[in-house]
Amino acid sequence: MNRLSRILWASTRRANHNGRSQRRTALEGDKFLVPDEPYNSKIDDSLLSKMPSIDSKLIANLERLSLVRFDSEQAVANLRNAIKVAKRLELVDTEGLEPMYTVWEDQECPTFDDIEEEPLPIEEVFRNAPVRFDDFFVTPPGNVPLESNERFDLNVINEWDTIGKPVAPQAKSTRLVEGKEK
Amino acid sequence: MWRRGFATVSQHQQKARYKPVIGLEVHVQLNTKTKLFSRCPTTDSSPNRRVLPFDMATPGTLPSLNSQCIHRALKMARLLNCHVSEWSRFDRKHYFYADMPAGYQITQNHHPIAKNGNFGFWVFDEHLDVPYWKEVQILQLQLEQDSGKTIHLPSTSSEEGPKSLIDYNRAGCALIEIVTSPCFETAIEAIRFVQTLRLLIIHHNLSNGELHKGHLRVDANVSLEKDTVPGTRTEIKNMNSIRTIHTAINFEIARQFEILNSNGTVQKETRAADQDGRTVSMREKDDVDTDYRFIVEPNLPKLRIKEEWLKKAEEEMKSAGKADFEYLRDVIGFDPRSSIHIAEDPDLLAFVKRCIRLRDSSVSAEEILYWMKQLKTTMQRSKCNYPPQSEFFALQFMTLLNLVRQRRLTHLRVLDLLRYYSTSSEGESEEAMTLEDVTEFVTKHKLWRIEDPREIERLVEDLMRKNEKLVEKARNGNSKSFNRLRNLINEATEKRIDMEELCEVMKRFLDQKSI
Repeated sequence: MNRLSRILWASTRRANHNGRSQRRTALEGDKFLVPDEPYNSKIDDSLLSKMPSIDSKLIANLERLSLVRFDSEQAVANLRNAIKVAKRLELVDTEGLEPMYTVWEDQECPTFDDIEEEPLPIEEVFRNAPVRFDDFFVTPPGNVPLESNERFDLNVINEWDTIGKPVAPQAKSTRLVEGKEK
Repeated sequence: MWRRGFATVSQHQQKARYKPVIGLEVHVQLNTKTKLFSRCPTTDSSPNRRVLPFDMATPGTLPSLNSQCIHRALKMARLLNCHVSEWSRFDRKHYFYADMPAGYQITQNHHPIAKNGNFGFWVFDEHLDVPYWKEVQILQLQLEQDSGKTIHLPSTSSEEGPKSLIDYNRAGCALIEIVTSPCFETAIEAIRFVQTLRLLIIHHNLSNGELHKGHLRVDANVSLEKDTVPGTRTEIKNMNSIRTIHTAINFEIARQFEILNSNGTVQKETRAADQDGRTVSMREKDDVDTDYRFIVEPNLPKLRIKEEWLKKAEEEMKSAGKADFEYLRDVIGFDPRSSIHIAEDPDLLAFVKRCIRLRDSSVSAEEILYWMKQLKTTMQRSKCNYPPQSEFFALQFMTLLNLVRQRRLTHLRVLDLLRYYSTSSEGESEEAMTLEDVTEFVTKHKLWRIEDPREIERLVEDLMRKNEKLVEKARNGNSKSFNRLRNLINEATEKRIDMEELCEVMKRFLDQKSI
């Protein structure tokens, strides 16, 4: 069924656009700059510096910084993979170059004169606030330290590279999730 | 007793091996009309009434920079003799607090607006014989955003946990952070620095400078160096009174000394000062590896300092002249302690300024101070408010100072006149309205000092004759009787004879066998 629909879709595309995909450019007749096929990197990953091993302290630290909870070994392994891709930038020769932070380095910092503007009406201020107490926003108490018990099988995460599978295997042992047995 | 003395000495020797090393971070809230990156007013108001979309980090809003904040930062740089960088840049410092709605603070970490300065001030204290001049190094001066305010509510019931109430009025207000090198050795040095800096900041209209309102917030890094080996430092956060800064630093020095002296280790941590100035450990323990994830603020291009901005700041600083405490100290000749003390009290300053305006240049600062002290005691005894507010009193005060200086009035007579004038010249009572000038008053009541020695001798002789019993006792060496006799003559002559002169004449008479 699935296969059938795909064939159908492909044939419609061909019919409508003479074999070209449904992409459009801003102006009729412009060249497409994004290739049809994914480009396979020619970077030799063996030249990259060694991946740091991920321990539970690092996981806890990353979770605290990002405010995102990893939900499985797979999630951590994905991050690991992303770091590896980013590491390719190490191979670019930047010797003696000032790093740029914007492509328009010469622009002036915009300034304004010290003249007041009407502040937002109070209803506007609270328009998106789910909880309001008098004229205050209400939030949970800040900076509750995250507990960092051993939730993941670190071997699974760290060996993923050497296993070389596209998807990290699930840990076999029973995991503790948020302090409760799953 | 002996043992206790011995223990103190040995602890003293121990203490001498440790040298306190203190560095300060001073956050100065600028008194601009609008916030650092938005044109939202900064006036006082009820919660969340001073908020623009950028201040609550509404997606899609962008910062632009308040030119008045740049101007004030440049003036501050000049005040602290800093090197102004040709360009500076803003960074994001990430925190996750509800009172920092963007999840980061825009600050200047790597390329601050100014750096490498120095600042000199006098250090004085009751325990110091003479004040000394101290210069501190200023590491950097950066513009940054303030956070909002949080009120912590404890848990009210079992279903409802603790929560925080957030007010964004202060969020995004402009701060200048001044970072000093760790070059203070005592808490006294630290507070004198803050006091002097505060007066200058107010003088140059950079901030309203009220500590209790949080316009000036001070963090202190404290560690103990043992035999020139640096120690672990702790940071005391957000102190907002001079007294707290002083006590908290001293408390922290003592606490660290106790730990080190009993072979413990000082934890690197952030501490807060409680009401009494004790320092207490604050929130998370994992301070050591706090990662602020500094990145360059992508929404603000480099800030290039224009030549005309520097010139304008320079000119304004020049035309503002000396601050009041500097004027009192350098022009009038007040000592460093008194000049700061007077400048910190608006009423006292107003009184001193009035006096100085009326001053005959021969009257010295010491004389003014001496008589101010006398006046204070007198007024406090008669339960009046010191210092007196009226122009009229200041004039009488200075006239009296001149008259006592020229020896036209006696010391005791001036004290009486001060009491009379200070208690009756204030307010709008009928008495105050009809008071005459002190010179007239003295002439009218014939209170001038008796200058003629023969007249003094005549008066003393006369009065001694009338009190032969006392004279007899005094002649036999009874000092009480002598004093009684002296006071008696003093009262009888309406304190018009100089005390020293009177004693001298009395002694001369007593030495003669008979009168």
